[in-house]
Formats: sequence, C-alpha cells, structure tokens
Amino acid sequence: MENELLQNTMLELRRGVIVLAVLSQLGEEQYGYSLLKLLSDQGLELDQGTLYPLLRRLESQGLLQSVWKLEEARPRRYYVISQGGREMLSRLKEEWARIVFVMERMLATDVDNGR
Amino acid sequence: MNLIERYVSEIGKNLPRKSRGDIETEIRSTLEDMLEERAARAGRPADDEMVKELLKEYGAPEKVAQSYLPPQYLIGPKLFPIFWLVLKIVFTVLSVLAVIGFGVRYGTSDLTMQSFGGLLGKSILEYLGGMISAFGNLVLVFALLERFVPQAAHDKELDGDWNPNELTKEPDPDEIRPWELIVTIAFTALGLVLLNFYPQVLGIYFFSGDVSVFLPALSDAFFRMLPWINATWILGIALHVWLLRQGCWTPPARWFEMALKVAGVVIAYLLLQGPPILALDAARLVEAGVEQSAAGVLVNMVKQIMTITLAVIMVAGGFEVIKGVYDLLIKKSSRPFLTK
Repeated sequence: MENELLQNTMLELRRGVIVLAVLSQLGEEQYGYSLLKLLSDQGLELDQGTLYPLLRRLESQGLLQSVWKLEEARPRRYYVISQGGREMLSRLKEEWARIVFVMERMLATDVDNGR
Repeated sequence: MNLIERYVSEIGKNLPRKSRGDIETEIRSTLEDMLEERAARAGRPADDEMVKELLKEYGAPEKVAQSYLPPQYLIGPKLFPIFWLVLKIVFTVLSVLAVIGFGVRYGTSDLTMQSFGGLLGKSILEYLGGMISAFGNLVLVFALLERFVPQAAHDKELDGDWNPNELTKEPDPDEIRPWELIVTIAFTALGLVLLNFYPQVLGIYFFSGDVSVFLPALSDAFFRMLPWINATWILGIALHVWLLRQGCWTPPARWFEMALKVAGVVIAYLLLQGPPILALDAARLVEAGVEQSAAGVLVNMVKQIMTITLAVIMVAGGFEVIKGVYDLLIKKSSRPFLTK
C-alpha cells in the first residue's frame, strides 16, 4: 500500500512537467513513437497511453501542429511546436525556473534539514 | 485480419466516429514501429507471441480508447449538487403527499385491521413506485442537461460577488426568541381558557332553517385528563415567562422543558389508549339530520385525525426528548432542541 502511494504521488509529480517536457522536445518534427523514445533517453519515461492523447490535446489547443507523412514505411503523424506553443513554452520555462527556485529554498529547510 | 488489426479495430469501436480513423492509423503505426524494434532486439522476425506480448503491454483496448476521451459523466460534478438538491426536494414533497393521501384514504375506508394492512401495503408500493419514477425522470433530465448544455453554462461564478458580510450568523443555542415565547404563552393560555371555561364551544354546529344543533366534540374521558393537561400547560407557561425574564436558556430550564415533553407524551399515550376522547358518534349526527353514510365517514375521519395527531405528538415528543438528552449529556450543549 505504501509503495502504491509513493508510486501514485510520484506519478502526480511527473504529470505536472509532462506538457513542458513535450513542448521542449518538439522544436523539430517528431512522430509519437520517436518522441516517446527521445523523452525516455533523456530520463522521462512516459506511457504511450499518456503521450498520444496529450499530443492530440495540445494540437487541439493550438500549441502543436501535425502532418501525416505517407512516404515512409508506414503512415506517421509528425508533430512540431507551433508559434502559440513557442510562446507558451517560453512562459512555462519562466514559471518552471521560479518553481525550482522556490522548491529548492523550501527543501533546504524542510523537515529533514532542521525545520 | 491480423492481431494488430483486430486490436486497433477493437479500440476504434470505443472512439468517436470523427477522430476514429486518425487515431486508429496512429496507433497502428506505433504498434508496428514497436514490433519492428522488438524483432530487431530479439534478432528474429516478429511472431504471434511477440505481437501478443506487445499488445498486452500496450493495454486493454477499452483502456486505450478511454485515454483519448474526456471524462464522461451521466451527471457531472458541476450539475450533481443541483441534482441532489432537487432530488431531496422532490422526495420530500412526494413523501408528504403520500402521507396525506394515505391519511385521507384511511379516513374514508372501513375500520378493520385487514383494510388497514391492505391500504398500507398498497400505499407503500405506490409510494415506492412514485419515488423510482421521479428518480428516473430527474436522472434523465439532468443527463440531458449534462450532454447538451455547454459546459460554460454549468459554471457558476462562485467567487465573483461573494461578500463575507453575507455569512449567516451562527445561532446561539441558548438565545431565546422573545416573540416566539410570547406567542406560545398566548396560545397556551387561550387553550387553557377554552378547555376549562368554555368547553361547550368545542364541537360541531348544524344549522337547518331556524333550528341549530350543537354536538360536543370531546367526551368525559378527555375531561378526566384535563387536570393533567392543565398542569403541563401551566408549567409550560411558567417556564416561558421565566425564560423571558432570564433572557436565555439554561441547563435546568432544558431539563424542565424535557420533563414537560415527557409528560406530554405520557398524556398523549393515555388519551390514545384510554376510552374514546371524542363524544361524536354517527348516531348522534344522524339524529342531528346528517345522512347516515356521510355521518359514518365524518366520524371515521375525525377519529383517524385525532388518532394520528396523538400518535404524532407521541413520536415527535419522544424524538425530541431523546435528542435533548443526547445533546445535554453527550454534546454538553445547553440547547438540545433545534431552533425552527
């Protein structure tokens, strides 16, 4: 039960950064599976059941653009960040830097460090 | 049809028609990419076992389809509180109507245990049927609202104009309401005067041309209990007068009030179990000129109303006493009875 709680809490923590991570890696075109491997290679493991619906949602929100490419071995949908997505990414990066600063300060004096 | 195709088709069944083709193509392409990679890693061509392993890892078709869909509610979290409130109101109204309907039917029926049992059973079944039907209709209405009314319309601006000054004052449990006490004293005094000095006005009057007939309603059995009724009512008036002077409730006043309620319950029980307290009977009404069938129905109804009233006094009084004791002893509050 404790392990399950930990897993779920860590999942919640990771969930908060998924959009930022995805937008940051779509400066160049990627299709779903290649993006999954790219994120995994950099240490962020994502379930395809999480990533693919997210890509569609970000596209519907105007943050990504997509195009089907049929000339390859199989049809693949390629995603790339849009102009709106770039603006969003810029704002998210600022917010991320602020959060990291705040959290590092809080964690420096948390229950394990003498508060 | 190969396994991947069947799997993708199964996912597609649970997707909206508009985006089904697109999503199916994407999933198919991803699965083929993953399969190719696995085969390369294994150093052998993909086979059925490898495909099954891959599909198992990818997840059940329904679960995969669900990840593409927004949360689907029959009645969503924004509408649910309103639905719940309306449901409670409707159920309350239906319950009241059922009790009234039962009372009227019982009052106009023959007085036998069998007829009572049959009527009660039938009334309960009709009541339950009505509740189920009302519940179903409400669910249908709210499900349609959830489905067809845009989400933005569900949103209620909760924070916009909220003003802390609008918070209702927390009622002081020991505070008295003077006007309520004065009215209670007045009506109790009126009742005492009526029962003790003018009992002859309590009854049924008939006028037929120049002839007027009066039939007293209350029997000697009732008037034998009158001293006890007088005692509890006079003590009740004394308590309320004391409260008006004191300005607030105290635990001894609460205990005294509960003792009076217990006395009221006991008196109601004795009136219910003892000789009939109604002086009316069908024969006297017929002598006064009322039609026989109407006389029977009228007497029956009045008796039932009296019985139900006394029963309600007993049950309500008993409940208030139990709650009062609980509040005084367990909650240690000096106000056991809810304000109206």
